[in-house]
Amino acid sequence: MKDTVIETKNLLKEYRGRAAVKNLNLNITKGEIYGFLGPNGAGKTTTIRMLLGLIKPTSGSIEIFGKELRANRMQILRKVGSLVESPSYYGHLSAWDNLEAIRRILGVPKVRIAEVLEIVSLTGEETRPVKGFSLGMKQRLGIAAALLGSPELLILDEPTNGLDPSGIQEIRSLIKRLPGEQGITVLVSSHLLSEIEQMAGTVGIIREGQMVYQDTIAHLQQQAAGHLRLALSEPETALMTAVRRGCGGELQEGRLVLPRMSDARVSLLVKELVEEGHAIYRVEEHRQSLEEFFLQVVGGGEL
Amino acid sequence: MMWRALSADWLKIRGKGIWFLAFLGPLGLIAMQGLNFGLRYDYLRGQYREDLWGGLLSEVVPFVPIALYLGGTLICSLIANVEHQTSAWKQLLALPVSRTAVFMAKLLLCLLLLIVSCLLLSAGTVVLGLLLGFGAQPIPLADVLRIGFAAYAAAMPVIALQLWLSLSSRNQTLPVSVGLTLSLVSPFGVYFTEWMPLSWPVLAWSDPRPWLFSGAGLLLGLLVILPGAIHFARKDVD
Amino acid sequence: MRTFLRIMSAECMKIAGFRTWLLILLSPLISLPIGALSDMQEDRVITWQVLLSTMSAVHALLFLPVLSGLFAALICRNEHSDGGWKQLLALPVTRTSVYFAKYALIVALLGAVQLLFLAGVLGVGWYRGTEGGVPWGLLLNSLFGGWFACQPLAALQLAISQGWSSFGAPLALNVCFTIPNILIANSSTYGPYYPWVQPVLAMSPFGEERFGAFNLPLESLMIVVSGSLLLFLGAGLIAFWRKAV
Repeated sequence: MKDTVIETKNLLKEYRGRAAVKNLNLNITKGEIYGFLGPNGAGKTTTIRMLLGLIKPTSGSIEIFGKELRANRMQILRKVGSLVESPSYYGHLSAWDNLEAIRRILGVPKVRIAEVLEIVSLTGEETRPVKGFSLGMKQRLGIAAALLGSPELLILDEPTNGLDPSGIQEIRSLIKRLPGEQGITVLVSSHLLSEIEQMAGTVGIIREGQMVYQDTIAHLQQQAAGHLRLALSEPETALMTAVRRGCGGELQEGRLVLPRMSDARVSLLVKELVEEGHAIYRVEEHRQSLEEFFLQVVGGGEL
Repeated sequence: MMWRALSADWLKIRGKGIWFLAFLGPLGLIAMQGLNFGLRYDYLRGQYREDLWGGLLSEVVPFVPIALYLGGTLICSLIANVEHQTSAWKQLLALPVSRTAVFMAKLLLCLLLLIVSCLLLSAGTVVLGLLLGFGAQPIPLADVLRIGFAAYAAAMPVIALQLWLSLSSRNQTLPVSVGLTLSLVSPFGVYFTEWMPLSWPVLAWSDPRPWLFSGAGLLLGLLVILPGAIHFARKDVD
Repeated sequence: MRTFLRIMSAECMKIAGFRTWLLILLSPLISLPIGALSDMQEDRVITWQVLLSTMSAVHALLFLPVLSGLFAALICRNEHSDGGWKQLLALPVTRTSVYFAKYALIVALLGAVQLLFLAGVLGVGWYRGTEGGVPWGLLLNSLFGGWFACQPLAALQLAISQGWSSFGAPLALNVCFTIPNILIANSSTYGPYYPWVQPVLAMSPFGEERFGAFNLPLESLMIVVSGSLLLFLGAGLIAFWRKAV
């Protein structure tokens, strides 16, 4: 039995009758990096705001660390660090003072400030006013603020948004380090599959407020099924043979395209085609990329 | 819990011109009276010959309620803006701190700043009086303190309302407009009815029963804080 | 001129909305009960002149100066937040026309306030059965005078608001300078040179009960107003030319 850190049941949030999030069942296990994936406006941020108690769900329940959120909000938030959407900061204060303002509320020892600044490699910049920071530095300051209370659960909403490639790399490796080193559970949202693919163990895909997929990344990669393309001398008659054999298939650009099937069936079909006198020039397996699969999923295709 | 939030707020308002405003109000009023007495010294001195301190206070007092209302409006708006500007609410309210504590901390901060203003006003009045050479007559200390604080207590409903409005919306046009209007109308409130809370700061000085109006102000202030705090604790944070 | 009109229409769009209407209506609405209820105890009919001076007391003494600043702050606020200036000034427009469009809009808004105030005075006058016919000359003179006397202030506030990215700070400053009006209006020496008090000096009907700075001929006041208008508008424009966006 794995420890469940976040569990939501039939979460619904309506704005003026329009559902921003509906029937959302989120399930996140301790110590994993959970990638929350979906196009812009799919309801990721709304969900995250509900998880942090910033907005109230219209209906449904949220349990974090096995406790109901509404009733145990303070107790739960003490163990949660968060970064929601664009980084929040007080521009006129220095990085140090920004963290100090949060520290005074959390009541953690002062040394934590230096520690988290070290973790996000902002040491040396702490005395400058934050309004002069680059977006990447502000984002890292936001992560430092999220880490300040030594949380057991870290919720990061689009943490790499607007960063340059090296900044993305840095934050990605930082996030990947966390569960191993400190046993932190991480929920990270993104609209980029490649982002999540490189960090997360489990992925949840949300579309128009509804969860359309929730499983491990490995399983997702398997699901991205491929298909078989045959280049041969008389594609029309070959198609008829394939259909007769129950393989389905269609013609694309003069090639016979068949859905994914077992190795044995492929060999049987090819053998029969050869026996019928077709000249087979090429047999290619075309694997759908994960990105294409993702687009298919969020574009409304069925799984 | 609230003290923690307050000490964080204390840090956040640094360098925002909020302290400057809290000092500017009373010092401006005193400077204005300095000019007033400086330019018309002989005339005013002659007029208030009997009671020089009373005369000085009666020249300062008409400006106190309106200055308090305006100062309160602007301080509330500036305090709220610290959080609105980079939408820091979502960070602050996701911390393990109750929303009521956050609201009360902001209110307390605002009230503290205004207390500083009132103290400065009283101190400044004494200094101005001494500079004008009123030292020969005894300083009416109770009245000197009363010019600021009587109006302060009576202005509580408006201050609480302004904080509520300022915290509610990111766009500060509405709260600032409401505050400016209330401030500018307040000097004319006395002409209507003493039941109008807007005129209480004036009455808290001039009425024969001043404590009635200070007390009523504090009471109504508490009544306004309640729905404000409840609304703040329940609202969705964008 | 074409670009100027285009910028104007864009500016109108940006500030159109409930809040702006509320601000325009505010002062005329507040002067209604003041006009309707004043001097009720005396059982005689009041004259247009008295009515105008009662109603314009709050309006011109406090609201007009504050509104000039508020409109200026409002018009610059949209640009200061979310990088509006750089978007606007990267368009094929000259800074001069942008600045004048913003200024013209403030002046137009103040004009609308004055017209509504006129409607308010007429309404209250007819409601209370004010004695005699409507003294159009007096009313229009007063309204136009007040409107014109606001303009240096509007120019000054626009100059400050365009340079200061805070919404509250220029407002606070403006209000701080407005409050002393109550005192300065009494001074015939300093009053005419104090921009915040000029609207009320220009607006009050020049009856028999002149006192303090109200004792001044309108012409000399208007000369001071025109001078300061040119000064503030010019200074603001130069600052805007040099503004780094």
